[in-house]
Amino acid sequence: MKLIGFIQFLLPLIWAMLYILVPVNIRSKKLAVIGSFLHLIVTLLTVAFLNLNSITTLFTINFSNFPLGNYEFGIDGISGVLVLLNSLLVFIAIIATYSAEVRKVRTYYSCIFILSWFVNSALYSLNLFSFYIFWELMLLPLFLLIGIFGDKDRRYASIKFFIYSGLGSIIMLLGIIYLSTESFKQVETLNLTIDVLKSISLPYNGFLSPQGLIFSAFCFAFFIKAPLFPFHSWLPSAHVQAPTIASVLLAGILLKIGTYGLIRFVIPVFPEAVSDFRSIILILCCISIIYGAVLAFYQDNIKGIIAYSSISHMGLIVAGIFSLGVQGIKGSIFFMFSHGLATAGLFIFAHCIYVRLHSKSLKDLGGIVKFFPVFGILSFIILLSSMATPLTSGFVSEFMILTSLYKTNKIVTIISGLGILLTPIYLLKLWHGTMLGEYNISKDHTLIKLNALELGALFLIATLILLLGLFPNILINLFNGSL
Amino acid sequence: MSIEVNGQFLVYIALVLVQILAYPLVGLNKSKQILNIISSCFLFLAMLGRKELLFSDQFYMGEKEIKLSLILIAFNILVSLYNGAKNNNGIKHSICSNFLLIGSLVLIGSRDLSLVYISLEMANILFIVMIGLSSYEKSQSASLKYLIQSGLIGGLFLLAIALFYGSTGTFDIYDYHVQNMQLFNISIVLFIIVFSFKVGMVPFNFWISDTFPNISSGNLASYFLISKVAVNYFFILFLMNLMSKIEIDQRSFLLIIISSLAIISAFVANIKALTVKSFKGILSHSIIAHSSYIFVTLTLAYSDSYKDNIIFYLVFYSISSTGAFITINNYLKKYDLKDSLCSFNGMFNRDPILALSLTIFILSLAGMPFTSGFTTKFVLFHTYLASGKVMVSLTLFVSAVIALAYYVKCISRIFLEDGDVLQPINIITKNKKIIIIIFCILVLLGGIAPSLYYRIIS
Repeated sequence: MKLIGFIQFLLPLIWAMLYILVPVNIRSKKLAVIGSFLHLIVTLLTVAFLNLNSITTLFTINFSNFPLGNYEFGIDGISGVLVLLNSLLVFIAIIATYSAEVRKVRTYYSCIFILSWFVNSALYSLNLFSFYIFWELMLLPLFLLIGIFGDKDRRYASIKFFIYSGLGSIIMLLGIIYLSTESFKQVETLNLTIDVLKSISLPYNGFLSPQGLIFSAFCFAFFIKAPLFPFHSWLPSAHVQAPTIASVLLAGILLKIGTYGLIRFVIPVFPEAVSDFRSIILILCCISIIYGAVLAFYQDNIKGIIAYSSISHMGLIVAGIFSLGVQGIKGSIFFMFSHGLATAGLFIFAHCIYVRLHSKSLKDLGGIVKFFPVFGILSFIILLSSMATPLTSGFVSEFMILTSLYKTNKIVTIISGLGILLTPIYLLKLWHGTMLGEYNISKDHTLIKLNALELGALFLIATLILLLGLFPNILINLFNGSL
Repeated sequence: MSIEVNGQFLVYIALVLVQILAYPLVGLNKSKQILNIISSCFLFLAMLGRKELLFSDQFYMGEKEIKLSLILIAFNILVSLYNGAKNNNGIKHSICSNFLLIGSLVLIGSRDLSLVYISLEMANILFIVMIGLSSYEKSQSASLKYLIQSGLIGGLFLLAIALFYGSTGTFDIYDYHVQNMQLFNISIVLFIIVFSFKVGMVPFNFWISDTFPNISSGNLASYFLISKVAVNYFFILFLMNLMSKIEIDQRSFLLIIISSLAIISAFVANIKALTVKSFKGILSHSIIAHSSYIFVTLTLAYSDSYKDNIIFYLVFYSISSTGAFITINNYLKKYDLKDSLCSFNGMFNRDPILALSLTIFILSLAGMPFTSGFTTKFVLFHTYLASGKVMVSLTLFVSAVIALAYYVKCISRIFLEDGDVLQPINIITKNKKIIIIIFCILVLLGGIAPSLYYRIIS
């Protein structure tokens, strides 16, 4: 069975190499659809057949005399859920943007598959070094995707994204190096697996103590990636300028690697610092939730609204993690998956509108539902999930998080709840502004019908949202044993 | 100490001399270049598998030094292959490179300051010749500037040697007894100044931005891969050793000075690089910043265990820097462009192989994982943190964040900007392309499987 996991791990890399190496006529979009579909099937098999209740080590590359030579890859429930989300979103994004015009097919698809491989590898990493390596490497393909295939201000957005993320990574690296020196002193190993990290005793007596500083370095990097207020400013510009596929992957899975890092490395390794800094972090989460929601309301650009809504929702995910209750962490993992689906759906919704009406501004749009009723219904279901309406996956996750938060801090729960109340206001504004009202585009403009792939992608997302809303245990059972 | 005269090394020196004498006599460039490569291969084989090499009390190489020498000889072969045999300049550069190799090998094995001085000056003079031989517009003025500055530093070095001799009564750098601590301390300060000049620490950094943009690729490769590695290796170990002999108060004072010099250099170079408009100018400043990272090694207590890591850093950092410079030079020559950032707009569309190679080298200099730059920085900072140098490491890391901005700027030019459609004016020869690709592979190998290196060196 481990072989399936191994194939799952390598498949995106093989496909990226295919795009680089095969002749021009074979490098078509169909190849990407086949690759992403195959990857999704293998991922489903991996998740179905591997035991995810504990860590299953898939393979180890061990160069004994150098710490960075140790690569240890394995999977458990928490990473398994995100691995599934990764391959699902790549497939959905590729089919949803199939009809979009792509200038450099080779660069475009090789970047997507290599990004997917880096995400996979980071999630599979059982060793802090290999996690860091792939975490940092993720920047490159996304930088190229935004910078080459993005909108008018793509260069600014891609450079800002790179510098912000790079800054976080460098600070985290310093923390990792310090951890490795401590690990060598205390347990005489440089192989920083989770167990080794847990066994290191780091003195804690405030921010300036070793544990306080390393915890801050890690949080800094993960909060930038998540992103949490005040480390968020790279996200709106990156989302607005990025091509749809990059937006889907960025919001859908890459942001979640930040919160995954918090669950995997921060909570278990720095217990004293976590408990000491929890209040400050929860305050930041509250600010993120409210700030993201308020700014989303004032946006005119559809992608801007989705970007700020992501900041708000990611604030809730981080709050769930730092509630430190099992229920809260479960809710956060569930929300990662649910938010990944919903945001991907919203970006595809924005894409479908943009390729037909060439505008992302709410001022220019309206009345689309008359022409595309099915599109309207599917997008509304996705919106309902983002609004945490009962019977959708969003409701289950937000309910779990708020229940756990209530046990920790009632004020934070109330503020978070307030943020959740704001969500329908800006999301309904988005739907109203695009779907309802008067059709604003010139009468001569003929609207191209939504193709089967676009509708298929939205249908798949909407179905999953409802399915997980009705039967949340399908997903919860995957990671339940790992917590 | 027993004396074992090692014949092969002398035969190598004789072979290099034969090349010089045979230069006007042997007609075909190819024969001359083959002679170059054969002589290096001969020396490589002669040193392979040896545990130690001893000429007299003045020259001794241990296992690590021999392995480093083997690496330098291998680099010399690569440089000769890079220079090719198509024109006379390539042959001249290769012969200079051979001489540089002799100077560097002697320096690595020197146990005596008089021998150090000779080998260092030999390498120095050759470097001046190599800058002058380069075909850029400002090469000769750069050569002259370097001549004047290095002449002054050579004088200081001589003074430092005299003071060392005055304070210890010997030229031996490993076996001495300090009789006059005051003179000894002054000599250390002067040695540090000389080393600061050699690596380009602020305020002795001006020659770097004059020299590196105006030296041809082959010569630059020789300097980086052979001379710079040897000089840095020698000075780091020599100064670490000297510092361990002085009193604690003076030592702590010097440590503060060295750390401050490194931090100031890193910040000045990285901030200056943000304002520079030429690609080679940016890389030159990045070299100063990188030198400052290794300069902090002087603050560590002397230990033979650091040798592996120092060699690792120096070798792989040199490969990345050389790779970046020679890729830029070849690209600019191919399209007959001037060295400005605009010339690199849309490089990926024009020449994907060179663009990807340059990106790999830049990412390595930026310290991106999967490249040797990441592992070398990791090794270096791991050593610093393990020795308790937390604040210095933290500050240097902050300066590395500034560096990230200009590396991103460079990469964005290559991939994100649209450039004019240009037709190649000159052709890049196959040997040059192959050497660039070899460097790329080495950089990636150093990042993905650094333990391969450690297996060889340990």
